[in-house]
Amino acid sequence: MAQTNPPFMSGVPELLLLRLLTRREMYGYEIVKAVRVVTSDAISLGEGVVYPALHALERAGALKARRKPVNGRTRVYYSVTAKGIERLDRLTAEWDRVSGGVEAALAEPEHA
Amino acid sequence: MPERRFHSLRLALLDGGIKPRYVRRTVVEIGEHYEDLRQEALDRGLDAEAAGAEARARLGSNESIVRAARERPELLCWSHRWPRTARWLRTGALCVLLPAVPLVYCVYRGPVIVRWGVSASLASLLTGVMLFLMQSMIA
Repeated sequence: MAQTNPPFMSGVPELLLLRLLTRREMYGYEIVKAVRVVTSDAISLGEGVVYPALHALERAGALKARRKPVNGRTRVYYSVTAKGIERLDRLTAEWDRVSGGVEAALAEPEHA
Repeated sequence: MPERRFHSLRLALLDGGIKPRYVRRTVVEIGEHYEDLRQEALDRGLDAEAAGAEARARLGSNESIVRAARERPELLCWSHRWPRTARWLRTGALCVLLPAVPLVYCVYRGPVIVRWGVSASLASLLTGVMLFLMQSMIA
């Protein structure tokens, strides 16, 4: 039976956030900039709406946050946990499955 | 103070049923993000007013931020996450509390209630006797 794919598009920001944060810990502004750079501006997350996504991932145990004073300001840095890596693997596999399906459909010769 | 600038966002998030803990964090982090965006715009040569306006626009409207937070049920207060259960519990609590409060008051304030009851009874008796006497005199 074919699997349903609810996180097809709604899981994309989550996938990107987890992927970027496996490289190094970052704070919100850095994350939004990094998404824009790595996707060559193809995907730009709403700058304010990135925080609910980060907080939800933290609540799920996929990320951990720590406050760090930098130049007299307190920044909240996020990093991925072991649970986050597992979640990233699952989301990546799901994304591969869905994008593979879409690619296969696009590669099909057009039916008359 | 950046947090003060986002007071309306704080209220909108609280109204939207977001847990106060996440409201505080969102406002603080968005305040910091705003300062970064503003600085970026200032570095590009914009004046302070234009830089502030651009930073606010890039963060998005309060509505879009509240909508994004409300899409995450884990960030919602339990009363917004399970509104029907909350409504039932509130009604149940009221049904118990409304009759219980006077009862508990009477138990804990027994002597006061007795004193008040005796004085009220004596006053009624006195008034009754006076009315009776007056009526007898008229008759």
